[in-house]
Amino acid sequence: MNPPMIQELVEQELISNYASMYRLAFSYVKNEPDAMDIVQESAYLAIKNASTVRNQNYIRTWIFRIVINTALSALRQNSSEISAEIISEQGKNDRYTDFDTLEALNILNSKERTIVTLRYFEDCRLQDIADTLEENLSTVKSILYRSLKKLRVELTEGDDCYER
Amino acid sequence: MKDDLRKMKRDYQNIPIPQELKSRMEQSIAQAKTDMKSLPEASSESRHKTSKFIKIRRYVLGGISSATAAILAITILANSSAGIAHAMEEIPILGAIVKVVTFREYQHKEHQMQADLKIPEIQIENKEGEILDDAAQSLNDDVTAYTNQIIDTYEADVKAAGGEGVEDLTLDYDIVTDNDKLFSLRFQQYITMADASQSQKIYHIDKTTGKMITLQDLFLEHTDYQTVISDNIKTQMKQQMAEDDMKTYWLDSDIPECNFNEISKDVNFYVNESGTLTIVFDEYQVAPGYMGIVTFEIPTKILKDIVKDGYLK
Repeated sequence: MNPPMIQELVEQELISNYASMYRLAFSYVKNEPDAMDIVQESAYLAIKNASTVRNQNYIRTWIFRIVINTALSALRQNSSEISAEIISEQGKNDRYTDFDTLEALNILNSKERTIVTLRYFEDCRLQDIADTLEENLSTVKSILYRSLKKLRVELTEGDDCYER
Repeated sequence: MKDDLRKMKRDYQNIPIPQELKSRMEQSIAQAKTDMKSLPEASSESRHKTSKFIKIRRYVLGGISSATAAILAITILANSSAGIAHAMEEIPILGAIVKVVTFREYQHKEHQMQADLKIPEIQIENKEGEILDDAAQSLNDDVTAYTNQIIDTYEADVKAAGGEGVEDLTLDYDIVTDNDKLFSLRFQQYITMADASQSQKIYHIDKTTGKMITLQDLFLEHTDYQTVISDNIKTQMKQQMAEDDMKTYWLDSDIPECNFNEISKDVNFYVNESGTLTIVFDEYQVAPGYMGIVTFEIPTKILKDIVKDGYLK
């Protein structure tokens, strides 16, 4: 496929997926300004590297992979700020009251969270997730299985709490 | 656990999307394109610099770009109305002549909520040029009921939001089929709230009788067209999923209540240019949201024994 055309396709995917990209970024950095920066940076990188896309059917997952990588490198770059954030997070629970079920995701590590997010919230196929994370399918399946187990424990404990 | 996941999904999808995100992404895209022209061999170092540059730009350009976007929207709107009006003027045909004679607009803007609906009114004439009021009336009434419902929902949203809401609603229409036999008017609805969604509604006039018809009117009485079509769609879904990993339809999925079972009697359809019946499903009806609106062409050869003459080729 010629480069201008693939760039066009990437652009279309970006425009139609900006909300998903933002949520994915937000699920990593948990604040609006950083999530927006990640989306912007990812869009920039996607357009610039559009010519590296081999299969146009994978543009969407490819974009998600860029978002994840950008988010992870942002987290690494701001690692000093993160430790401060973890402390402040405990005092800032109010901010997430609308998304309290999402708090349960915090018990997962970043890869587990990504897989659960892509599979259940963005309706991605397992094979696509495997491609996005450059893992093989059975690894993704077993991580997903493990994550759901962890979540189940976390969520049931929550129920006990509410029911007394 | 399924319920918990569903609740989590809902909360995840309710993560609010900042208003200016789209325009900022468009800036990034434009920036990337400009940089590619000026620095075709950008090293990772210069790329890094440029991305920092975007961050600074956002504070400077944020306000300006949304103003530009507003002006642009008005211009496009004016132009597209004129374009539609022109295209609608008249369509020459053999049997009845169906034309869009007027269209009303419903427009509303308050804070961050806006709606723009174009509502056509159609007129049907027979070959002798007599206007068939009854025939047009039933279609126009249905269209009015359909659009009023959309407007009511929107107005309820405005009221409920009390000036704080963010919603962008657009309804537009086009003529999807106009051949000797059929005239079909398609509505496309786009709603952008926390997430964007899209849906369609298609109305049909049989031009030989001047009457409104639905899918079952295409078929002979007492034929099980629903099963024939549904089975074919399921086969197509399976085939597409096998050939392309990016495609997902809800068929034998993890969530049984979502699975596609059978088309409903009022499913949207149209007859495409080559005379093939095309079934249209809205977002989320038979597939996850990322698949958007999906359509299936039903081969005429499997319908030839049950379809009435003249509709399909």
